[in-house]
Amino acid sequence: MWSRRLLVAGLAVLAGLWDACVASWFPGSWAGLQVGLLFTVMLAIFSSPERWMIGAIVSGSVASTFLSSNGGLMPLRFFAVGFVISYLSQRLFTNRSLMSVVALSGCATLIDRSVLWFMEHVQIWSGRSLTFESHATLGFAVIWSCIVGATVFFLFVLFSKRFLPLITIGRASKRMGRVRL
Amino acid sequence: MPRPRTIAYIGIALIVIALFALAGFIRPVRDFGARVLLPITRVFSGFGSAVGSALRIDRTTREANARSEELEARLRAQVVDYVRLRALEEENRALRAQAKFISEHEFRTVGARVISRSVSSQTAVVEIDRGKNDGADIGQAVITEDGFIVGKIVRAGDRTSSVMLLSDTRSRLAATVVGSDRVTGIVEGRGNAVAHFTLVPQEVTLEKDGVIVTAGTEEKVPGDLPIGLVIDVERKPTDPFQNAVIEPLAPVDRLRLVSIIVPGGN
Repeated sequence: MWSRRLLVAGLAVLAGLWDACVASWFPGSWAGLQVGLLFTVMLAIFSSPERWMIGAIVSGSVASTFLSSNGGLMPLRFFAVGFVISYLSQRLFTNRSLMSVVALSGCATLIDRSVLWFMEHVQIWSGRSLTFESHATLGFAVIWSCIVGATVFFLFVLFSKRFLPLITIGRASKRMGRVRL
Repeated sequence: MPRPRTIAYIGIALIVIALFALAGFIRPVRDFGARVLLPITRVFSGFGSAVGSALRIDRTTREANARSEELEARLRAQVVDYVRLRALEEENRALRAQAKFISEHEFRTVGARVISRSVSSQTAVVEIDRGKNDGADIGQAVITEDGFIVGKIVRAGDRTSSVMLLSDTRSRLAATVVGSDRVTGIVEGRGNAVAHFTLVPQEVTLEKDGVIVTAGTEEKVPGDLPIGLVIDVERKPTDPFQNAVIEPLAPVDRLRLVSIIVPGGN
């Protein structure tokens, strides 16, 4: 559905703008309160491949347009992380529980940092003048991604009832008369 | 297992991005994106700078910081007056000596807003919302409202530019001691908001709290723009040059509005 893809693209633009024009002003580790990558990761976990790809490319492109750092190749990096997380969520962490979402979020941050380190060092070795990305400590970034992952999971539970056990849905459906088994 | 359609999407997206990058199409796309989104970035950066300032200030140190900022502002004003007076004195002397000289290098300023920051321990570059369409060009000096030099433009797009701050380890700027007879050294960034004044001949007098200004030997950087104060001098009798640690006067953490110095009079 194009309307949903457009909505994802719009949200990805906002996420990229947040990373570039808001989070970059924060001092120290607070600069790690970024949402572009996590937006892609949440789409990779909960939504379709088309959407996370749109999210990765759009949010990465917008952020890299307005950031001076040039070593991270953000659209490609977000894409790579989205691809790995999408693969993991379909093959290994197939159970959509709070634990799996938190694990995937933390894993995404670790993959992102690894890819960033690799990309920056390849460019340093090739002699390119780099402006490094400012980022939080790894611990802060992992905690932030886990918090975001958990929050998104709880929001899904609250508003979609997608992850409730069947018996709970049955009770809820009787009480609310809205959910069909 | 990923569907064939998914794999096709991945392949197409990667090929398109790679081709764009190889063919140099990224820059027009970037400029187009910048043009469309620039008004929104101003709102976002205003919000970001306000929140960033609030995060920097701990509740218990708010008052002390306010006092400190007031004193810093006073010091900056004093430095501006001092440099201006010394510059006027020197200018007066030069004008008397060269009464018929007509300056070919006049400058005007273009105001700009800082829209994002990429500051790490080694590199310090900020993005501003002015580009080639506004007269910005690589190598031009960028100053604060008070007239302190912040850095130089290192990338100029159509609508946005990147400014490398003086503390960036790749930054180099020709400089001199205010009031000296134009013997210059180089201000080199050392990261973490620190810069060093290097390659200064031993015969030049460097003192603590001395004011370092631009030398005016670079084509797009006028002279006598205040850079910073000397906080420590490293001098060895056996070395041909002396070095000094300087503290840049421009408040890098609070940079929101800056001006680009563009050659050409009004």
